[in-house]
Amino acid sequence: MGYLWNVLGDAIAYLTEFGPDLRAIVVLTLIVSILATMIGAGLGIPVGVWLARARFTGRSLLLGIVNVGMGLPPVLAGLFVLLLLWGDGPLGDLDLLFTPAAMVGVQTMLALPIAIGVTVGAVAAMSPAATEQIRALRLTPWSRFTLIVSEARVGVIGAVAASFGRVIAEVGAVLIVGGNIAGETRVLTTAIVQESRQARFGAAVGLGLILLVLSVLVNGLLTWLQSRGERVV
Amino acid sequence: MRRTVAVLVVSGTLLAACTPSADDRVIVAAGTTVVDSGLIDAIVDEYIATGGDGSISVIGLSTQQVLAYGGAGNADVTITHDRAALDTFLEANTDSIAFPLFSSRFVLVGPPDTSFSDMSAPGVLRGVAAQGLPFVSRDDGSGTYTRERALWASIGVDPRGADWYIRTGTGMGATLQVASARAAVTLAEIGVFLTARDQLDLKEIGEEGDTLENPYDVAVVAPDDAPLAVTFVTWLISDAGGAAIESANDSIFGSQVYRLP
Repeated sequence: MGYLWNVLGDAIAYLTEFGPDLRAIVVLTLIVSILATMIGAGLGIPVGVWLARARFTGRSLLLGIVNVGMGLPPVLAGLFVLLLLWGDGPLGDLDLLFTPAAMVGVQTMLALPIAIGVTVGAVAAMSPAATEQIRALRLTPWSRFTLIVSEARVGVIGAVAASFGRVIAEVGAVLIVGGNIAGETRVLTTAIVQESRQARFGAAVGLGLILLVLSVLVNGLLTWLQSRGERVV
Repeated sequence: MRRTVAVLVVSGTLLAACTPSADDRVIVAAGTTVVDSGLIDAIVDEYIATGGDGSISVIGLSTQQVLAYGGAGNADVTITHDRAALDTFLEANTDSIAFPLFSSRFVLVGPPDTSFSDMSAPGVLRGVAAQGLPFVSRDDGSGTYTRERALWASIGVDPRGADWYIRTGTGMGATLQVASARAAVTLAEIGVFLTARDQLDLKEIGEEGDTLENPYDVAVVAPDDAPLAVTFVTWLISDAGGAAIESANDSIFGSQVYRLP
């Protein structure tokens, strides 16, 4: 046990020296994760609402694809984006490899299926009475959409939380397309890999503690929104 | 319930069958440079094929971490390419014994049009610093990074903090990819560069020189406690081991990239 306490002591010593390098890592982690969650959920929630209510041939196939996407191994997504952005690849001329934009792209790919899938579940779980009522009302598509989202808000917030959770914890894909460049594409997870590879466990644990705190803060906020949503019902 | 128990028992048995007992398992921790290319695995395969004892597990880590693993008793055999770090390790672990294993070289690589008036290794680095050309650094605990630091120190330049100095903190392969994408110069271990060369827009720049020699050493961490590790390393530095190293070189690179001492 003594060894673990020593590592924890080193971690706290590391955190007290919070400098510009570490700040850059934390800021980039938040920007990439929040942007990817916003784009992923922004597209995924409308698609999820539509997919939950529409009836057409090929719907089960589409649902199947979404379900596979929810479990998509991140390193595969990373490899796919790497090949797309590689110098000779289809999007190589954009010069986006090893940039934060590439990281947001791959993270969005991972967040989108989760946002869709969880939203489908939330909308499908609405009470039959509510569904029937909404169907009977004469509404513009937009007000119908906002009404459904507001009825299913607890589940829809869950979709945002699940997307964010996947994105902020992700390491394989962002390491492949970001390259962990200091001050440019280094985020908390890739920095943890780097520090543990060099047996600097104090720094690795310190970074891990920050990651944990960020995750708790954001999920705490979303849970608070969810519980408020429940009370209004 | 009974079925669940049966499944658990069967999977537990399978898992146990796949895991060698601690006694005949030799853990070899080696620099990623020689693990990623498959070199060490090919040599170990030859050892097992010719009747070598025990089960050899190879893990690839940075040189710094290899020695940290060895010092903590997590590895029985270490293969590293940083003499100064190894000497420090041997001072702290007086039972450990080390031998020269093989030697490759480092190369400076960069965009195909890179040219300087002085193409020696120090000359290239001076040119990079003077023109502010992008340079990608491993910036990790690897033997390659230690050598890069030594080269910068030899010309009296400290590149850290310069805006053309890009630090990846990742492995050799990923660092070469970043160098290729950024049209940058980097110091590479020749074996990894040869393996990845076709995918990169980089070529060797600069002349070969003594400063770019890259000797690897093998060490047995605790000879008294790990007889099978001693057997393996004894074979590795014997003529039979040397022949296995040469044939592994031939099958992977088609030439002797990791030369015997």
